Amino acid sequence: MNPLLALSVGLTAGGTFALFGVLLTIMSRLGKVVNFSQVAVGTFGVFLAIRLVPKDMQPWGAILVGMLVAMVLSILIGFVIAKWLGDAPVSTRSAATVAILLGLYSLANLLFGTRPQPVLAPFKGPILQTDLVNISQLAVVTTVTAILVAVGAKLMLRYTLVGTRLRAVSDRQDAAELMGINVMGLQLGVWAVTGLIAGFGVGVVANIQATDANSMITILIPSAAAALVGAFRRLDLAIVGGLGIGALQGLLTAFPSIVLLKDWIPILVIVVFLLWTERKEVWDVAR
Amino acid sequence: MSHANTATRSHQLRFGIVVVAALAVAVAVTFGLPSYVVFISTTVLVTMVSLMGLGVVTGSAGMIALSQLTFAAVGAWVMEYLMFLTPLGSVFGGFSFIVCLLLGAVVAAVLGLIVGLPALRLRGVNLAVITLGVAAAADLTLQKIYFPDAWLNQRIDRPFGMDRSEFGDRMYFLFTAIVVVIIAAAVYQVGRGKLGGMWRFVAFSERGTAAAGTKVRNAKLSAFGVSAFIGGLAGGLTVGQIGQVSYVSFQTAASLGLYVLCIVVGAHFIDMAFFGAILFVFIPEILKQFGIPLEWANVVFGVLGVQALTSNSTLGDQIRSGLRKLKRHGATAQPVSAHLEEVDLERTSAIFTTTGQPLLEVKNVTVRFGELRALDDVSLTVYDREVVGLIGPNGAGKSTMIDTITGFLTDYEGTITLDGKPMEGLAPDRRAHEGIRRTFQQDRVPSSMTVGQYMRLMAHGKSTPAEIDEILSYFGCPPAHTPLRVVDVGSRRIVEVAANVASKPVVLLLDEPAAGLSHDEHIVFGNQLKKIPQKYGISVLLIEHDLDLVRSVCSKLVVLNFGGVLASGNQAEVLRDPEVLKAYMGEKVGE
Amino acid sequence: MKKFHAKMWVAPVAVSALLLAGCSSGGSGAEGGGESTATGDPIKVAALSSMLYFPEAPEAVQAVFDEYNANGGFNGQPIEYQVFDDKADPAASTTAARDALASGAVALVGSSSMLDCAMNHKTWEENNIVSIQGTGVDPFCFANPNIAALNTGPYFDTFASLFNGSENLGFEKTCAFIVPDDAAGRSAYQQAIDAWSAETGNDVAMVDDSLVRGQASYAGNVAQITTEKCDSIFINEVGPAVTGFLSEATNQGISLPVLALTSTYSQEFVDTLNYGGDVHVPAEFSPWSDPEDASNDEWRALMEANGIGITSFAQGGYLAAKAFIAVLETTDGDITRESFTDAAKAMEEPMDTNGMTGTPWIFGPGESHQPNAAAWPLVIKANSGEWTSLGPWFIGTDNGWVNTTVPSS
Repeated sequence: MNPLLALSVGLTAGGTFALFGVLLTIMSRLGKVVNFSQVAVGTFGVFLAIRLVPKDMQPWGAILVGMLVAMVLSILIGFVIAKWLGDAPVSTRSAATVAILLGLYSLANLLFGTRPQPVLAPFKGPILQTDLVNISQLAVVTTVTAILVAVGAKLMLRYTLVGTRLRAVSDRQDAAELMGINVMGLQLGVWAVTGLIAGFGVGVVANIQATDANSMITILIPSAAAALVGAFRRLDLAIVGGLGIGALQGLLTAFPSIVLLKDWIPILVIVVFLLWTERKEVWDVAR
Repeated sequence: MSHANTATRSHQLRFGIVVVAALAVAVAVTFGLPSYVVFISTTVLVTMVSLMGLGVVTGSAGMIALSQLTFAAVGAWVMEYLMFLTPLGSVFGGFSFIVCLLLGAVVAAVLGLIVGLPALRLRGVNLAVITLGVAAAADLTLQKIYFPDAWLNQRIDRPFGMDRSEFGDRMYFLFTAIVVVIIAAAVYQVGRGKLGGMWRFVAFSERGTAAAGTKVRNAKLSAFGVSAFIGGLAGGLTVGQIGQVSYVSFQTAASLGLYVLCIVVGAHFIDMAFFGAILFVFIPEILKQFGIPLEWANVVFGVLGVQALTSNSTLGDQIRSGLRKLKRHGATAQPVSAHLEEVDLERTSAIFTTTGQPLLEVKNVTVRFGELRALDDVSLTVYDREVVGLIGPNGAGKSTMIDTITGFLTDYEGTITLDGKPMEGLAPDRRAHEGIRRTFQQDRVPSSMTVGQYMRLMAHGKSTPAEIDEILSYFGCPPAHTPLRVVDVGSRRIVEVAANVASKPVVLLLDEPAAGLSHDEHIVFGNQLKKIPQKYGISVLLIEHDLDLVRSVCSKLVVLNFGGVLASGNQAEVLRDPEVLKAYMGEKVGE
Repeated sequence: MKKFHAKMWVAPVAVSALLLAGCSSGGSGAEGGGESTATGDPIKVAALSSMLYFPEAPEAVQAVFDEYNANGGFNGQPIEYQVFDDKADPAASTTAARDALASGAVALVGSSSMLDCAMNHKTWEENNIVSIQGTGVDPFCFANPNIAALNTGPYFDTFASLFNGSENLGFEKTCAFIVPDDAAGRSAYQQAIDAWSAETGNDVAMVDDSLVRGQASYAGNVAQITTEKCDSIFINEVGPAVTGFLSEATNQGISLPVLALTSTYSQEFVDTLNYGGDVHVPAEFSPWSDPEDASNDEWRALMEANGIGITSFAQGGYLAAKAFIAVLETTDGDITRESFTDAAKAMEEPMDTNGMTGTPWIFGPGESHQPNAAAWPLVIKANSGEWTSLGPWFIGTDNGWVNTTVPSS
């Protein structure tokens, strides 16, 4: 198979990883947590939405409702973490999201069954199709969304009052509180927005996979790898990382004899980037 | 001292009784309960093994590990491969099962080391991401390559000729029970020993661990390897019980569930691992009776997991503290001050003077943070058998100096030499081994062990138990068998000093060790400090704010201000220096 | 740090939630719903089910038994049905089997699981109990003396689908995509392909058996279709997974005709389909989507009265329950495990399926059972948004079908 073609079809998944990689990076920087439930809230929201919204209003009706449900779930989770784990270290807060991922995963299986879910497709077909390259509309949509979110976040943080306050909260929460900044409100705002976009992310890609509750994990891992490419700090590298992982996985399908390796690409990326970014031993205060 | 020995002996006796009792209960269950109960009790035991493995790495060593069942899968896969496709499956007769079980666990341990290696210098969350990724990838790979029992459509032979009849199931339960008791006993003993102490120390404070001469990476890697080994054992036991397994038996979601359960119950306690296993198996059974789908158990575990994290305590912690409240009504160890009468209150004993050999030489050290110079061309020397004081106002750079000498700050100009040997490029644990030891301002003494265990951990075998007891009584510390959690913070700082003395270093750096002591205790401590060089042959660099203590203990002083040396030399002269007084009081004296 | 002092009320809340869930989920069929005019000793019957994956089959069985009990049961004896969830997990399946046996069941009826035949066929043989599967999936359901399924199973389905493709539709280069589940399954699929090859002289252009359940992206698999220049696609996954696969195909500009299996035959499949080509499916029972076809009227009425999804899994469960009753009525003396098993294996008169199956259904003696070996062709014409029934019945044994075999253990 033409390697370039194989690489380009992998960009559809890559765009999804880029989008969720951006969300994970935002949550890490502003929410001080590696949010293991990031995909789960979106998945749960979409699964619920396709049951509530009549068929003739799908897919967009379901996607919108899914985004709202995901946002509400995200706010609830954010509330629990902000209120009772506000001073806890990053690892404890992240462990809490692991427990929540478990709960959402099981709840989804219970309420919606373990068969893959029927979700209608909002974007169909390729945007560019030649003998050498094949790029789907979905790849473009997810990548563009990731870029918009990243750019929007950067602009907001740098140029708006809300952004400045958010940066204050994430740097010195106690000082910000004493200054009268509405810490809880701002943090919940971050959770709400990432939840909303997670719902969108799952809603648009659900149709091209066998989407069951396992996607809460199978989309999360490569997205976390993407975020790690940016060291959970840089949004641009998270996007590049996500697209790269998708492309790399796609490329490997051109070599069927090493098909097993494809599943391990995200891990290898994670390991390589961890070794690189942490090659000098740093004894930060927390240790 | 005999008190300590009696305590140890009664502990071992209790341990022996528990083991015998467990075996007795196992035999009773084997023959006394219905076969269905015996079958799921086997599942309880296997789950308990998985939880014990997780308890080592999460509860003991403080890491987030989300791939415990992947290690089980590897152990199971390798075991099946060996039993079906190599002579090992039959060469040892009835023991082949055990041999292959152990080999499978070893391979799982190797995988654990490989997975742990890149992540272990780093934050716990990164390990969580890696282990989750490994679990998910292994899931997919197992789905594609299957287990050897599927290739051959066979079930492995159970050990010692047991079959798969009802009687065979009962015998297998007894076999599993014996294996689990052995594993539990081993985990318990290791946990009480040096390795376990190292794990708990690294969970509590990585800096403290490194400063005590233990590589943080080794502590964490060993925890991870052991937990993977135990996980592999669980996988092999599962194959023996069920006969045929698939990727579904070891799914990622189940690893998540096990992790959450582990933090809810506190599986580093062996009894809580057992309790957690019972919850894991019997809650779904109860749900079955009500016709409720079994996945609700996972939802409940998720909620309990969040609750355990927010309250920062596990079920095991709560039960144990509840029992303690019942038993001792809050008795605490006698603080150091209680030993005041026993110690010489002499205030005027002379300060020992040096033999003149330079041991610690700091030459022209500069530390920059961007434009700011935290240390500016600082030089100081600690000679043999000296107590040198390092003083200065807040923010002068004293802690930075200690961090640089002990290796926690690696980016500096200048040289640091210990007894002629340059320390550049050596990590904190290596410098500790060379003979530089330090105490910390913040409490870095883990409360999860006894005084004696902590002392032994810090001493690295340099002191005999008798010497350790002597050092403890010299400093007026609680006896070795006292659990650290009942020792108050001030006394713990003294224990930290004592522990570092027990490691027989060349130079001991003390970072405000007397904070938290009363005035009288300060005096006692000062006298004890003064005698350290001649008694133990150790030189001391002391950071202190209490000028009385400094005056009575130190022969030399170095004063830092804004990162630079303001004055240094004989203690009395330095303290009369007007520049020094101005730095402290903010005004010129004797103008 | 604020502490969350909810320890007090978390436990009661959790317990209440569980109890509420128990009330709302209606249990797993532990007790039969509805009134019963049968008051004699209950006849106990069990099933193993991957309940979160195939909920309709056991629900359909329960509905049939409720109706039967309401009409007097078996000479006054009601049938008591209990379903044991095996969660598609080998360990849980073994436990569930023991549970089922311990419950005193005389037979297993309507089991629908991904692996219960593979895990428990020996247990059934050792305990002299038979299983009338509602939905058999793994190959042991079709290769064991104690198990007979109402559905055709994915291997026969594959045979019928490929046969339709090469003989009726003229496909010559089919790209086949298979999710094998395990080694025995892979072998069984290969046997079906080989049987079709032997009978028709054709072969598939390629087989990609690297698919896994719940796969995150089919991009790599689909890309091979263009490279191999196939003229048709075969895929053996369940409905929503096929939807995902074909959606990816659309994204890559493919609209070739597709051969799929009966597990896609549902309303939601055609509603969510995002594909520009024809999809051909050989249904294992008579088509419920054809309003002209009266064979399904009774079944449909019962399903709608009980709020059970209209799918072929529900058809299988319904017929399994009917099959149990048919054998029950030929059983001599007291209804026990032994007497029922004997009656099943001695069965000579096929059961009347009211035209819902293409071949007469019979248990009977024999080392393996494939009682349903017929398929009814359907198609979703490109962009039509609906199922079109084609017919007629495709009879496997007339066309070279060879029963599935499994590696001997």
